[in-house]
Amino acid sequence: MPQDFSFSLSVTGLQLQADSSFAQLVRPIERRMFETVWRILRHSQDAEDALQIALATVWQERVRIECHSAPQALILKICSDAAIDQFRRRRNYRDVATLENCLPSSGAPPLDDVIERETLDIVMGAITRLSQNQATTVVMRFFQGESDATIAAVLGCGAETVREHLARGRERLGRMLGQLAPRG
Amino acid sequence: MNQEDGRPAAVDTALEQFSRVAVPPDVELRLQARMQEFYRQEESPPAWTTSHFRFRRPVAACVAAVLAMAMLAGLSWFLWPSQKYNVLLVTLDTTRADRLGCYGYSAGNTPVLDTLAAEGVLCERAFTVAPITLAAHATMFTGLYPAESGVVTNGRGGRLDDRIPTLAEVLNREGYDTGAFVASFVLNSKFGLDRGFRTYDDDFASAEAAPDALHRQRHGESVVDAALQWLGAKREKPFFCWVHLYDPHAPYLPHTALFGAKYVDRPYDAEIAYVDRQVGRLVDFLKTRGLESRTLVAVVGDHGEGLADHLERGHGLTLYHETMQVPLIFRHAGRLPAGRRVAGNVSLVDLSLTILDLLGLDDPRKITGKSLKKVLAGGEAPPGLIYGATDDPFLDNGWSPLRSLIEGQWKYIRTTKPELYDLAADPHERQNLLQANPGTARKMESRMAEFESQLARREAIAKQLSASERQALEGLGYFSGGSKTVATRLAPAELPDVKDMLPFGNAIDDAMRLAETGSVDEAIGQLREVIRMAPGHTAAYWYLAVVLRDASRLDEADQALRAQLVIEPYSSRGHYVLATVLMQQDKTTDAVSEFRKAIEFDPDDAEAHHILATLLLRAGETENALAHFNAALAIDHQHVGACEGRANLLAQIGRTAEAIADFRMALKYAPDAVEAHYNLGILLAGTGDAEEGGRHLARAVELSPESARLQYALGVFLVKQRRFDEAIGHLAKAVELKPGYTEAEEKLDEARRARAANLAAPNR
Repeated sequence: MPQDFSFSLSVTGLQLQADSSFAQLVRPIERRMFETVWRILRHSQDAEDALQIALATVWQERVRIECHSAPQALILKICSDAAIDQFRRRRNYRDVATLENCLPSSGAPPLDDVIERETLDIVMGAITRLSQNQATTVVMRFFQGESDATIAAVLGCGAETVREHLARGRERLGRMLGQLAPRG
Repeated sequence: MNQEDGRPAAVDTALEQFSRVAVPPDVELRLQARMQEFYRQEESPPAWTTSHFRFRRPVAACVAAVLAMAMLAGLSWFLWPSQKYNVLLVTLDTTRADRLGCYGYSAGNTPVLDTLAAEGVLCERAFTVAPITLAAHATMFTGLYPAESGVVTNGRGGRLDDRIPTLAEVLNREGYDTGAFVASFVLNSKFGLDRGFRTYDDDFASAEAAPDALHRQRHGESVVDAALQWLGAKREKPFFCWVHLYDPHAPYLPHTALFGAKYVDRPYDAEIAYVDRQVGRLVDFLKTRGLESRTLVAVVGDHGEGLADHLERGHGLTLYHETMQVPLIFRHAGRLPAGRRVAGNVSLVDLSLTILDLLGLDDPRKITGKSLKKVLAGGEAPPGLIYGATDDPFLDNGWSPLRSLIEGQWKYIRTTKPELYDLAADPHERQNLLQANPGTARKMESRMAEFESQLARREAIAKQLSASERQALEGLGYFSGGSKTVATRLAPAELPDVKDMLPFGNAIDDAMRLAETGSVDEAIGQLREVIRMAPGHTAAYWYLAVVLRDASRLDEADQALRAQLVIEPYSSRGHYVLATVLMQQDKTTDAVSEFRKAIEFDPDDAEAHHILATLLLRAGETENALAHFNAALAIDHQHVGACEGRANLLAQIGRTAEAIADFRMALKYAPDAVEAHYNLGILLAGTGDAEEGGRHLARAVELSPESARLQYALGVFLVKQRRFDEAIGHLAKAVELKPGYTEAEEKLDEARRARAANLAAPNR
């Protein structure tokens, strides 16, 4: 039997507007992209620059990224690569990067915050001295919380290799950051 | 890692601090603003300039400038030399080399391919790596053998591993505009060969109905039309265009409209002649556009066709020359010699690197294939091994898989009953010399094992098989040591040899033809005879069950399937057909159970997911039904039934927007689907889009004017639109078609009264 048609349904379907492929790739992970560049750089203008470079790379590589098995993780890796590069470049103009610039808002920071920021900078500096794969693995694991499998997909290697990068990276960091180790 | 000095723990603690660092709100706003700029600008990327990049530092600004320049110049096109050559790659499915004039076939009709060969280089002895479309194409694009790429067969949920780079990806990165136009669902983008192609045309909306999704195909004319449209577009980059022509694949058409009755008795030749004409359209395009000297043309067959030379009529089950030897022709006017014929053995594994080498491009990939550039230019083909493989005999029927190796004059085939041929004396592989030359056979077996041990195997090969198939292969020793790689040792002696089983396979084919032409009893008799002669031939039980089911002899069909499943309990297709039999017997619960088993053994059977979803929906299990509709569409996004089914479900649970999207998708692939037009019309009308809703309702009525329900629906809609005259016409038609249709009668009265009132109203 024919149904009695209802013409009182709400209008929702007509408002569908598809995002472009680039926006579809990026929009769902905007916040994680921000976190990635910020955690590495903790400097607002550096973070903006790194994000800009990462976005340009993502746009340029969007076809490859769309085809990738872990597109979101790959985008985050592009962000972390851009931020690490930016961190390395920062050494060249460290003299003008004042502590004030490193802070998100005005006002004197508590001493503990300053110490923590300096500690993070030291650790980050050590990370940038790791090999590219080790640095990427450490950042993706500790900064982004990615699994071995996802990191492996992004690096194009096996999970075992990822574990090896991680172990060696941590070992090297341990040596470089000896002063952070508990004493006694 | 040194755990004793406490450093790793301290390092972890230091690293973990980063995960707690939150983005301050004001920074997030700034980053968000930068993001929005990109979203706005990406609509017209070439207009990007450094003014959009507000970098503070000179170094960063330089990076930005480089990127911007790259984008302005067509994304890094400026970085490469101006002289780049286009590539037109034409792959001819199921095309035997020896059916082309340029390969010596006097009865052929292939003037275009013959001319290409005369103007370029023809490889007289080119061999595929597997007589299977997807596996062969994966090899052509990756430069890896099927065992290395993991793509060993068609379908079965297999997909080229995303980590394996393809020829299209390399060319894409080299600045090429890449487009692919494929003719068969076997090469659907879901199988991974789309990687690197900016355009991948696998739209089978125009395809003819096929017994299963894998056999969906479109004719060469339609494929070449699409390719020519793409090629004709204005572009600043060089192009890489891949055109796949599937027509020589069975069933063969004699193309009487083109060739009259000439090929009525040789329809396979007609298909070859037809694809030759389609290749001609592409070649003509290059000529008229003056692109001949700027375009490398490569024409290659993916595999041949048995045509019963060694009993096999189709392909996939044997590795003789008729299924393995393929055409391979390169033409590049002014850059490759004209009329050269390469006599040595070459393999399709070399195609990918050869194309790049001919273009003067480096291949950054680590692949197995070698470049044939020097050979094509005039050098001698170096002596090498030609390796072939097929697992389809086992995967389809439980027979022994095959491996073949050609070295020099000898060809060795590894199977339950191995074969050895002297190709110099016996090019058609008629006389098995294994008994006469046991030493040579042992040497070839040893060479083959050594060769296989060097292949870098990948896990994807196991992904392509269902869990049960994998278990079965493992049980037979085809997977080594619990790892997911195919072992290389001799096939177990207990597996049936293809040679022994093919006569029964042909008898089954004949029986199915009898069934198709209406001789059902005769077909059933023949299938029962096959089962009597070869009780382990599980396919015979399955086909018998299909014929019995279609003849509504459901109890017998049930019996045949249960016999099959005793021998082959993991057979997905067995459980699937049993489920359809049970459905017809109204045993829905049992049918659901069998569909679940079919899916368990083949999780990528879209049709099983679709029907199971439909049954679950009927049973009120909405969530489970939605999950299976989703699964069906994830496997085959062009599955019209699943698309419509999910749309109906979503409409029922109030997810109208998604339902509308699904109905639109269904209509994309089935433009004349009456129910989809009707349902979409109702939904759109309900959401306020009366104009489009009305169009779909009218189209549904146009397609099915004898449906009272549709006439009634359109009538109701038109009353709502106050188009009373039209409404009355449709409602009257509904009442005429279905006397006693109370709702239509009432609505008709209402429409007449409304029209009268409307006419009586003062005209302002």
